[in-house]
Amino acid sequence: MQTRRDAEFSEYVAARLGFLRRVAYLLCRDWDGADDLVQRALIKLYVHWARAQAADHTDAYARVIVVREFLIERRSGWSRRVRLDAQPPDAAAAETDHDAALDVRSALFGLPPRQRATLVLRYYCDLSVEQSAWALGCSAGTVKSQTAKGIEALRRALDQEARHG
Amino acid sequence: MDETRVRGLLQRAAAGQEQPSRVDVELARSRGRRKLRWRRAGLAGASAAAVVAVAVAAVAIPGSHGAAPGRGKVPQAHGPATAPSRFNPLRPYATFGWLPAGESLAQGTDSTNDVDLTAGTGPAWELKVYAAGFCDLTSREVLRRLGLHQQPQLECSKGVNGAMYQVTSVAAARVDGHTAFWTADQTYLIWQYANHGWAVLTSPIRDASSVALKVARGVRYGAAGPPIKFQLQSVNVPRGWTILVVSFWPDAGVLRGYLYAAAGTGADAGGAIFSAGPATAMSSCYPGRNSPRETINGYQVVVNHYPASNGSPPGLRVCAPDADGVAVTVATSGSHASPDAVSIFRRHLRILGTNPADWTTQPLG
Repeated sequence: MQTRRDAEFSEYVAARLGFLRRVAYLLCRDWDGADDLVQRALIKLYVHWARAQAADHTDAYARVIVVREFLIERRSGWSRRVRLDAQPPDAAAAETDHDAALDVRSALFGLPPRQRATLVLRYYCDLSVEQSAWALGCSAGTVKSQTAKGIEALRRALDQEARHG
Repeated sequence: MDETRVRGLLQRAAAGQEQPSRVDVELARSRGRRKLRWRRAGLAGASAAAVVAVAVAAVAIPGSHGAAPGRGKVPQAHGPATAPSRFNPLRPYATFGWLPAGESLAQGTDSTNDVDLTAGTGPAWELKVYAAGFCDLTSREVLRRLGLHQQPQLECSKGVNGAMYQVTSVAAARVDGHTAFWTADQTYLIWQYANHGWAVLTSPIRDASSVALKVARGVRYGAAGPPIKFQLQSVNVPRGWTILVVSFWPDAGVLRGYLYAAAGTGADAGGAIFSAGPATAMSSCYPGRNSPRETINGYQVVVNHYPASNGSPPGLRVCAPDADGVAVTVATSGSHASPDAVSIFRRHLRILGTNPADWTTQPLG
């Protein structure tokens, strides 16, 4: 029997799954990884559904869970510890993308995970410095410095690609 | 580069061609319901049945060891005298001893260098325990630098899974007989659990330093918990392969290893990543233009070929969505991986089914 929680949760996911997947994709760089990340995040979101709904913005709550899950995974260091990719970058998507988007992605995905997460929260999810700091579990100052470093690294990477491209 | 341009770049990066979603909402609901039941069992201390359930679970699940979550005294845990230089990835070296009410171990990753445990169902408690020699300072040196009004950086970067913690203050209580420290905003609690070994705890709760200290003081060391159990066993793999890292979560009363990597030590020694989970639909294996379906050992599989990209070598993955009730993937990388994922699946893999009694604690047979 479907409970009210189930119905509301399903309705929310149906409406916002695309957005959550795109946030996860920006963090993970491939759709397989993004789907795994969203799957784990949705389990947590379901458990905390009452709190998420009570929050000012359910979307904000959901994407914080996605970002924190991503950072937990990165901290556990699977992909950096082992030079094997259980879920390699998605080749099919890459083949169909255009050069400009590929350049941006390659520059973005070259950033360290925490810098990437900071940029995604600030400029894709439109969170303030303070909201991002809460999501990342760090100080506002750290968010500002990570943002500045991330933008500079992004700029350098794009310049470099433009020169070699 | 201004902020508007960064926004535009991110929009463009996210606008790639999406693959069909394989996110399973029903799976999220059913797993979520199960976690809720656990949380409620932990919270419902007055219920005799719940107490029994928690006590039974405590036999098998680290994080529920000792006192039931959130009640009773913090176990008098003490760190070992000296940290080991390597951990056994098949048995977590550290376990949570006390957690706030309703929280329990959610997942962990175990390697020879460090142990990562997360607990909680939302924003999580995260514990990282390093083997000896992975961090560059001693408690005494950190204290000395703090005394000089410096903010010392503890660098735990030996190997490839590095991290840096900027210490800003001394915690109110010692942990494992050593001084404990905070980073800015009390984001990380850091302490030496033994000579040459450091542990780091991240709290999901703001302004809860006393709770974090309680969690830290309850941590137990020395592989006191149960071994991890696996649904797969790799057999007759090349001599010298060892398990490098294992990810696990508590499930069906055991620590279930759902992902592990095995490799040899030389550059050409080869290696593979294995994963096992509940059986799923064929679509989850993403058959695409380069992903032929095959039958290997009687199991329907999809073979994914990944071309080299961004400096990564080409990869090969075999995905079996339902092999005796188990979803299995085997992945190898490199042009000349030997054995490659297909031959590992064909000749070097035992699938042990869905009954935990049949699972193994030795994934390399």
